[in-house]
Amino acid sequence: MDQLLGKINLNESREINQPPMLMDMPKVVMKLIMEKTDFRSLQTLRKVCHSLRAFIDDIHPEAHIDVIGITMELNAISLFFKEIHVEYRRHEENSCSISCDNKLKIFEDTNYIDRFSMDFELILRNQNSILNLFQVSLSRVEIEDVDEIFRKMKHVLKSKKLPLKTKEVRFSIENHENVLSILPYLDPEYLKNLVINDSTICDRDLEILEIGGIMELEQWKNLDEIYIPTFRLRGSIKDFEYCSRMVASLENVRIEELMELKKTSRFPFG
Amino acid sequence: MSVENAPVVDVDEAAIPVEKKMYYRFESNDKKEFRVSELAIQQSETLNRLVEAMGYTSEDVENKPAIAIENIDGKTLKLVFQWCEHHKGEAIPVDDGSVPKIVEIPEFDAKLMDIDNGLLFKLIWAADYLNIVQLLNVSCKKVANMAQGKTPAQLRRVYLLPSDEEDEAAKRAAQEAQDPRAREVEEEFEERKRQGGNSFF
Repeated sequence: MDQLLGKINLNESREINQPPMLMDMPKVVMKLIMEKTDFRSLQTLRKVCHSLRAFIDDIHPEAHIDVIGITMELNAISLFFKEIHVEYRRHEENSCSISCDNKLKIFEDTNYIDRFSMDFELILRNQNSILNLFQVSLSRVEIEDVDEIFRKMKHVLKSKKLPLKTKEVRFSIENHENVLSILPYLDPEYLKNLVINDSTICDRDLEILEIGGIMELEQWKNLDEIYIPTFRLRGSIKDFEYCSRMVASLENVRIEELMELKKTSRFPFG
Repeated sequence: MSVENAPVVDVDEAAIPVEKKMYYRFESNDKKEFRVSELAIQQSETLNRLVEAMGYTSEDVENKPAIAIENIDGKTLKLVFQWCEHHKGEAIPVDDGSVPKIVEIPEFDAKLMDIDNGLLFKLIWAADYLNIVQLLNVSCKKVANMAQGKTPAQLRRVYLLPSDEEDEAAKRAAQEAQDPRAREVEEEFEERKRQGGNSFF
């Protein structure tokens, strides 16, 4: 009995005769290593060989991203996450340039929006922890590109197995359709703050934001704080009764509704 | 049999209180012997269960043959036991799968793991087999850190990984051996390649 207990033996395949390599490690160990590897190194490791890429894609190591920012400019998209900034830019006819860390690569026969969309999908694939902030901003962009980019982002968010979790979402956009491409696909359980700004704002009067469709969303009803300072909104102040803090310009506010809200809402009325 | 009867870590006998400490004897596959304190053994779930099941007395430890660990060599086992002695009595981390654990590598561990990659992988293997949770954590973290700022070609050298071409060759060899799964594997590879191989990062 003592002899039996006193001998430890692994099965033959695990015997250490040769110096082991990374790929010889048991799956559980490989998973542990990949989980401790930073995002950028992990993407480099995916390029090393097919089997490692297949392995990494299988285990889905959590990305642990805190903030994702997407900014659309004329013929370009910037993507920020984990102190990484990547810019996808239209380059001549039917090709694009991608720059990151002062390095620039040209990709022929490919569209900058498709390249962005592919990387956006890759980043979100293993992001199941809760973001603090997801931000989507527009600056001067040709209108057809904006629609295409939002369509692609919507597709990526919609096809994500688990909805993207974020505590706050900030939009700097042109219209309600931009918001409706993103907001319905964020996890309503975690989303608490919503900020919407008009990307086209100038000295003129505030533009109207059609907010009807947005207010019907479950995400809207669970919000704590709403900031829409640079649009005018049509609707009733009662639509804001769910939240504890709001900054917005309503076209019409009826005094009766305001008094009613004062009695029932979480607003800190003086 | 060459015997290294000295404890892995020097023990100051005078500092030991009245309670008598027990040192178990282990033997590597190249017949190196180590004496390891009961408390240090607790860092290894595998060894701890084993010695509990054996129920040795102090006399048994001295009189019976050393416990053979047949698939770990002396060089690796020495590192393992040095780590266990240094960290004896420390709580063993429990992975409840919730928040990500940030692993810091203490100075002692960093020095211990200042070794070639082959030996480092052996250490990880041993830590996994002997189920030493924190040693596995720090050694995996060290391997993960090694990837920082490297190109795919550098990573192939660091981790002794095959290139895509070598991967393909291995795959073809598998096909030639008429592995019924080979075709499936190839299709899976092609699919993976199509899906993920073109990322910018």
